[in-house]
Amino acid sequence: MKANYTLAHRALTADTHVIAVGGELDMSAAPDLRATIDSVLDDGAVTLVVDLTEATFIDSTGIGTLMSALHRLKESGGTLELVCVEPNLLRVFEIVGLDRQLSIHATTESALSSFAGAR
Amino acid sequence: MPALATAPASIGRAVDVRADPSELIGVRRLAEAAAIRFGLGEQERFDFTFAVNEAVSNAIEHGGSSPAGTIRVELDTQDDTVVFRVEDYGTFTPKAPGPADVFAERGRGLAFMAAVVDEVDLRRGENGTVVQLCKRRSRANGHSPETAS
Repeated sequence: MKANYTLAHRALTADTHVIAVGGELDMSAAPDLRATIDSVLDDGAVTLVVDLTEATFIDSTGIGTLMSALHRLKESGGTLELVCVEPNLLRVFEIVGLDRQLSIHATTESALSSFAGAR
Repeated sequence: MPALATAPASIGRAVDVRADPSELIGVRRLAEAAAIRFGLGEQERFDFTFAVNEAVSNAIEHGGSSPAGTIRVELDTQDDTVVFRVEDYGTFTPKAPGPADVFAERGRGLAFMAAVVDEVDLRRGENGTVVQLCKRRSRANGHSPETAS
């Protein structure tokens, strides 16, 4: 069956990685995202940008996956930044309080410059 | 059994779907289509679809499925409210939504549903647990399709 989501990963440096998620991030997509995030963190990433620019839907399993990544990164002194402009997703993040847990940016560039500024 | 996307999905008619995450997209399309026909506004449609997705995800993950591996979904309307029901074939003991661990990966579904629809009702059904969601059409952006000009 054709998947209703896309996942793309690029390493900007050994420390800094961007994972872009497109389409609908539901229970059928979350395990893939989780595996991708885990492998990036296992490889030693300390700054992770999850780019949701092309995402149109997220559910509690997708949010749980992001929370778990945030937890891992916080414990290791790393950072997680989200990129999202879709109003429905931003509202979901607000409802679940995710907007208070991490910073949400309009573009990947602004997410990356926030790391740079923090260093 | 046909895939949900190709099954006739009319209001008030229960449809059996496989208890599998790959069916979620079809259920969301069904909920969206019903919400559009019913005249929900754009944000209300997203909220309704979001809650429907959570209810069905819970049924798939925590509920049991029938001997045929299915759960049952149904859309209905009552006055100014669109109603969604999902019944699984297991026993589901909901955990009270609470602050608990903000990093917890699971267990948010019920609280999320309650935040975006007008009513979330859990009860014991004939076969298992029934979760019912009600979303009212607001006057501001809603209009009955029958009276739309």
